Amino acid sequence: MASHRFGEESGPSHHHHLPYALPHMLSSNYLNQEGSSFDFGELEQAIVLQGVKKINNDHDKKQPLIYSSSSTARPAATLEMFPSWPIRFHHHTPVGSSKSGGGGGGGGEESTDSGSAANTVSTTAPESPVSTKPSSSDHHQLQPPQMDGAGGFSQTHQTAGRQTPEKRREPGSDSNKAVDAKTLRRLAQNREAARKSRLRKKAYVQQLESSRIRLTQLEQDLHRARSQGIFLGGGGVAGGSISSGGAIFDMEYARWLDEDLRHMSELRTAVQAHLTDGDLRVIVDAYISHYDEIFRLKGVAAKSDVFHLITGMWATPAERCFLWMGGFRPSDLIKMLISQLDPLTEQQIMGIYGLQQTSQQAEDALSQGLEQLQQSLIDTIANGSINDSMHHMAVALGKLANLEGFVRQADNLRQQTLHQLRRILTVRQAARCFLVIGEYYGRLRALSSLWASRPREALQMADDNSCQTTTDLHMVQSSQNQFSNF
Amino acid sequence: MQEAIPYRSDRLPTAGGSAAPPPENSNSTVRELVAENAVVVFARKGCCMCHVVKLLLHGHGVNPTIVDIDEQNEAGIKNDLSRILGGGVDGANSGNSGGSAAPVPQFPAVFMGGELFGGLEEIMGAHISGELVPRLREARALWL
Repeated sequence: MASHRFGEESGPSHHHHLPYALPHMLSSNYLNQEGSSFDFGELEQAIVLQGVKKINNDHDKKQPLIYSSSSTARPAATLEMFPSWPIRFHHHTPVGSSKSGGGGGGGGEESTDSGSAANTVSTTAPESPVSTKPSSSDHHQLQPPQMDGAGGFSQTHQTAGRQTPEKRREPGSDSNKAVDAKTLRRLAQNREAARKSRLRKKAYVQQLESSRIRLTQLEQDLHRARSQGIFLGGGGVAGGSISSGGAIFDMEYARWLDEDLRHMSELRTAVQAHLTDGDLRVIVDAYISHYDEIFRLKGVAAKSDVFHLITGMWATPAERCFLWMGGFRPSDLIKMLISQLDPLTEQQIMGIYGLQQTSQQAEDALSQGLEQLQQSLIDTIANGSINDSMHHMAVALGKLANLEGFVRQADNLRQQTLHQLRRILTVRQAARCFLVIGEYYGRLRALSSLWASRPREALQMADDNSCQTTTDLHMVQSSQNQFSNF
Repeated sequence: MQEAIPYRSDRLPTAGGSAAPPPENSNSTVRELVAENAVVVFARKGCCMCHVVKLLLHGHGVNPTIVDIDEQNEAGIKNDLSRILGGGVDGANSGNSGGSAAPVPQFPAVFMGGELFGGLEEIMGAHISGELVPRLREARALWL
């Protein structure tokens, strides 16, 4: 039984490696024998090791042991484990623990050498008469066996004499009873420690279990989102964190981004190659259709998951920062372009400024409309009484459905703006314009990923030449200078 | 904001851009409204899209006639509108018109100069492309 206990006690954070080994030996011998054959050598070892434990506990102060000078409640708690022991037992064994601590501390290092343990016993022995003197000190403590030496034995002999003997182990000699007390105390402490470590282990295991469950759920979500992305026909059950509509759109958006890169490189080579206007027009119109495509996809996605679009979860964080109604703000784009499309005729300049103005008006109108929707929704949600809460919820749902319309109209505005831009500019200008647009959003996306991977200490990346993404940095820096209007 | 003077000042007032009283379920009233007002917007009550249309039109200095649609008159108005749109010139055709069934317009529906212009999408597109102002002028909603 004792061995079982001690086996579990290897967990606790105290340096208890040594004490448990030998008391194990001691107690197993001890418990097994009811006879009086008592091994003083083992006792000495036990005593010394108790001292070791005591010092360690003084250092740790984690386990308010019965030996600590501060706690008085603990002795009672420990003693409760042995209800047959009268309380007054511990009155008679007060000791100047500090003194004994000092005394035991001298030889109290952990040592696996039982020989040295025996040595320390002999050194502490002379001190015990001194240590037993302050017996009337304020601390009610059980006598730490380490300070006993010879004197301690005498004391415990006194006390043990007054004891009702522990029935379980009744050796003939008093010294055995003293050893009983110490051993039992030690066993009690061990039990406490074991219990504590068991509880800790249980908590840890529970934490592991919940993490495992969460992990499997995440994996399931991921699988579901992937599979629903691949099988586009799936209008099935919405996944956990991302709906199927959202997942599908994310996938299609990723594909669109790849296509965008392709279009961009095509435009770039076309502009540099000085193609004829006719050929260039084909490429430019293809790019416009490319944008029409994403607006169409967003329209489809708005039907299934408008919140995914509105919250911008499909976009990178930096883009999300500038998000307006689920996408870019057309007037901002025009503002950016004005500075970039330099050689423009008067008429074109007028046209572009006019476009900026009309898109601003349309944006304001849409924003105000959305605000009105929000207000109306707030009123509906707030004013639902308990009686007709379902009705109010139905009304609120109907109002929420308008969100799709707003995102749809915002995308329509974006599309119209791009088309109008195409109409105002010549083919060559339009090609350059779309190159600028593509480059701009590419940089914005790069900014997002740089931001995500920035070193946490400081914003020293500007000076950090060893950074791998140096070229991206330069790009970002120059873009920040260029697009300082924003 | 300047108020647009309606073409027929002796008819239904559009001063202030206030909503016309919801017409009864009679073909003629809707037809009259559409015919006699430069810009008529049919929209559900409290619809925020209608609000956007109104804002856009106000931005051009136009005060459209707003016809509020609620549950009672919705069916009637839809009927009337589809008859206007798909039926023959005269309202005598009941039920089947000559060609395909007229589409029920989406609300908000904007009529300009007696004709269906479209919804918010079309208004927005015309607004951006610059076609809105000429059309408004054509419909006599704008003078300047």
